[in-house]
Amino acid sequence: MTVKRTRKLIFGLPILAMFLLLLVGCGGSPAGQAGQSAPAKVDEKAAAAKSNVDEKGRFINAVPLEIMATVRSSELAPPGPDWVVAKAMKDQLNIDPKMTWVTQSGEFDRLVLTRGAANDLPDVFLCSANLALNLGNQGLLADWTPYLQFMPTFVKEREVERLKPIGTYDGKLLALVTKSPDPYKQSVAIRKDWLDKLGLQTPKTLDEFLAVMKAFTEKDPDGNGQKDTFGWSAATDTTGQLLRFEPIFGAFGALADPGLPWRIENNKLVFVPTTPERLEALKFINRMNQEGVVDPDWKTQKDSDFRNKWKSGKIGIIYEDWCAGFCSGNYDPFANANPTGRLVDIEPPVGPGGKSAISWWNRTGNRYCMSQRAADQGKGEAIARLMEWINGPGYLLTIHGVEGQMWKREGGKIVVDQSNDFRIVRALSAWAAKGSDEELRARYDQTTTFKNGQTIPIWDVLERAQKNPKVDITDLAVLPPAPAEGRR
Amino acid sequence: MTRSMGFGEKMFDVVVWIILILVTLAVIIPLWYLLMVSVTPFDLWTRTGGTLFVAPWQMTFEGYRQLLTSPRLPRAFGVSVFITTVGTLLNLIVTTLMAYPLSKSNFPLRKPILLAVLFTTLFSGGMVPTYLVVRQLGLLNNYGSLMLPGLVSAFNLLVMIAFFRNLPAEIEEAATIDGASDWQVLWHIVLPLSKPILATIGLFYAVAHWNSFFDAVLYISNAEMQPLQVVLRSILSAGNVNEYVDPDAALMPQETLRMAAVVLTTLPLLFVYPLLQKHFTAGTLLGSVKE
Amino acid sequence: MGTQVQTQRQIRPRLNIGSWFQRLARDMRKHYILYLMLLPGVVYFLLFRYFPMYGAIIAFKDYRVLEGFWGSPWVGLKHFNTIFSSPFFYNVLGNTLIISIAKLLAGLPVAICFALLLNEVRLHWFKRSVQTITYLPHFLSWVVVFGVLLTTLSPSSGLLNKTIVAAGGQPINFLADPAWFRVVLVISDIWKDIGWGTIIYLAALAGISPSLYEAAAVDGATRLQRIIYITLPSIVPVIVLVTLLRIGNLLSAGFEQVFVLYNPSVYGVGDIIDTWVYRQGIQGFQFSVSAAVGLFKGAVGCILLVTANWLAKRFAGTGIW
Repeated sequence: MTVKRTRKLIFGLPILAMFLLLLVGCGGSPAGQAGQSAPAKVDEKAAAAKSNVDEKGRFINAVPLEIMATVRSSELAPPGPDWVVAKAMKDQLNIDPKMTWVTQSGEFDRLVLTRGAANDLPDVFLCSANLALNLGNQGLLADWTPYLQFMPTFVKEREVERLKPIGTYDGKLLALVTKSPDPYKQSVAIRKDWLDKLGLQTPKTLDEFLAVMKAFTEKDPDGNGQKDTFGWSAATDTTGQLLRFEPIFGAFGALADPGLPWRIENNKLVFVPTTPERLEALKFINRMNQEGVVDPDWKTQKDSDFRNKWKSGKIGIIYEDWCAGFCSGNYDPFANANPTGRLVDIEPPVGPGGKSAISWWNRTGNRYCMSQRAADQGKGEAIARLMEWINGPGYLLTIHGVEGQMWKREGGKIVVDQSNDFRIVRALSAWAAKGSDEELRARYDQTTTFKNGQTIPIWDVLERAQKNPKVDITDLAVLPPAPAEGRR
Repeated sequence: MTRSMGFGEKMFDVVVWIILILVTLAVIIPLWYLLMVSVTPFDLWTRTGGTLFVAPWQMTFEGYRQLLTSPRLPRAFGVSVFITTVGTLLNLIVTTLMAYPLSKSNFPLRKPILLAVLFTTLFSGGMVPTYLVVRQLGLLNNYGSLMLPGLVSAFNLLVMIAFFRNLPAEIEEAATIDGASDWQVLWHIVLPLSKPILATIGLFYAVAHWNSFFDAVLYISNAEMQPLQVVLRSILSAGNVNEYVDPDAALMPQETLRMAAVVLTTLPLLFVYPLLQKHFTAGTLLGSVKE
Repeated sequence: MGTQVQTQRQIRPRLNIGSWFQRLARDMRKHYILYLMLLPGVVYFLLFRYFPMYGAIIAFKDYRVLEGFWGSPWVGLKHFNTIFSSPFFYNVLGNTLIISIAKLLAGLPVAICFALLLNEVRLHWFKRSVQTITYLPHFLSWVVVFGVLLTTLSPSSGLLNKTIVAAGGQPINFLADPAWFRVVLVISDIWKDIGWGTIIYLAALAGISPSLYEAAAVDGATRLQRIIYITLPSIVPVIVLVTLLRIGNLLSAGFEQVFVLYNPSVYGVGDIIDTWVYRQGIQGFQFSVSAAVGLFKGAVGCILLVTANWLAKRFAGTGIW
């Protein structure tokens, strides 16, 4: 009997220890303490009346800011402590930036969520719609509204007023949404050399597309004597989303917004909210599969495998980000692997009802988030003035680096030196990019002749892509309203 | 050998050899394939899907060149070596010290502590409280954050306890009677007999340190202090096309680069293992009968 | 280890709690060095393992960061209800158990046999080479293994499917075929850890006294007999230890592997608890649900471990405690 009791005690000990710790923890939990500091109300008028900056626009007392950002070129090191942009922030604004660089863009959300859950968010960072929603739901993000007065040019140039509804949650502007600095990126490309070899015309309607895909699959367009080419290829992502059938859906007027799942379950396509148009599109995709014109690996391969597939010259028609297809770094492997290959961009297929759309288009660009903690510590004005600086006096420095040394103007065009040391300096350029014509030309206005003899003026591809029909989903990106109390 | 081998014995050996060779082939062929992909130029890779035999004049070492010339790599390698050696040493010291008392059957706290340790293999508080502890101890941006949170692995501790318990009790008893303290018994008698388990567990810990990734992403924001895995993965993720990739940024064919990175991270472990291996066979029959 | 436990229990006098503490105090005075040795490890476990466990209480709360772990509102079993009332949960639970048990039943014997075979090799260079090579796949990430699998199993260009087609068969999409997916999981798991899994047994084998083998050899025992009667019994404690710990974690069927290898076509057979929770939570802040799942897994693991330990003691004569 006593032995039994001892045994019980022994079994109970770890649990007892745990509860003791719970009690101890009760007193000194850091999260608990952090919770007690009630969010200070920002008084807009008071903030405006008491000036924190001198006549040169520098803060009278230095403001330390933790800025978290992903680097622009992850293969390169993030900038060191003597980063020229940080120095400029210090010199011109008296802001001490403490940069937290994330070189793993894939881990960014997980990192921010973990730090958020520990109430240890950086002061300012870029956040996805999901991050903004989740962090905002927890009261961790500050309302930008009182600070917009310190960043008038930014607000105007980035079209903040127009995009306000997208970042507004429960009446508060929790994500400072800006217009996209990027041109429209999706396009459909075809193997022109295959078309010519088989004596085919560029397809226009969906049926013509299917016929060409069939010929590409069956008539050995690469002439290697093997049936190893396909008309189309696709991929899936880790959440079960089908990737790269968008133009087909578009031809039926059935482009779902990206939040709605189409899935394959047990080898069958399942579309959760099925409309007649979507059903038609899915039927057509099934037909493509049955006729064997789709690369059978598509169900298991990831996006990177898809890219390797077309670069290897196995796929005839490709739905792809045009820069991922035609920009020199990406086209190079294709050119090397396909000495006679010719890739040209074409218009997306037109469906039976005359509809055509290549994919979605979201006119929103960055979402800037400010932590409530930063606002409570009175850093809001500094963050806003930093944004204004990045958009104004610091713009060219942030996006291109030091003038004369890292870039120069030649014939009205900005020419950028792409050496690695200078690319490191441009780590924060994603924050500065506005999408102006000058900026886009500096990035894309290049003509390259490749190893397979094809010459690609990338600016022309860009301009053609802008004219492609597409479905604008910008307004669908609105943050949902606050959930009812007690629900997630 | 004192006995001559019979026919059955020889057949036994043959069967063992055949099985082992088959298993080794099943492992080595894919590995060889990875090695070959790491030196295959992209156009060749795409035409053939990667082959087991790449002609020497077709090989490219571009992937290795790109990785090895990265200015971050030598430093990251140093950081990883530091964390692995110092971390493993700490792991082994604390684990051994904890395992030894717990291996004694008359140790009063043996069972409660054993159960408490087992309990941690089943329940944890999640990532956030651990992050708070690390932050509270001031370990953010400190190598301690990569070594202390995993200081003792419950599994390794249990394995070590089991090993200690299997040691012949007589030796220890004799030493105790001779007046040796517990410390002296552990240091002079138990540890010399424990080389195989120290090597094994040291290897387990070392590999965990060498591969640690998300810890470093979470706790280390200073680029100078990032270990090898973080730096390599950031080099690799450069191949991912996102909207800010410069149009003419030199993008390596992904497969070649990826496999070169795999080879480079695995290579050091290839050299460490044979060093430890000699401890695994010490004191076995094989060692003593071979002569 | 087990037999010692048994004898220990027999000779231990009946105690009550008071005398247990007396004994502890006496022991502490006599063997204070042992307690000092224990100290760093105990401090570690308290600080990094037990203290953070307070985080588990959010399984019963709606975690609000600003109110902290303690201030967040209690919601009772809400999160558990969410999990258990999901129609997918039981499918996912079933998959987890099937995949876990299959890995255990197939993987454990393979590792043990492989260790025993290695132990029989007399040529040092051969043994070392085999060990060094076979333990390497352990260091490949699952993403890399996925690449290898894709080149081997791809229905259009995979080596295996080319062979099948050459033999007149139809290509099989192993990674997208529900009938094959679990087989791929188990085999790739064995492949990856076949060498690594033996290390722990080899360490135990190294501890066997050579005199045992010599005595058996003198008695004229065959190689097989020596394996069965000497080698195997001496590694039983390690086998039991490894098996029991794996049984305790039966509800973790290998998140990274499944996450990398699966695709929507095989969700029905491949989705496990961890991947399911991950996909549920991919949209964000689900620390409470994770904590609830963690508690559920821990509780099940606890029951399994206690049962398995009892069985192991009864039938193998040894357990963890």
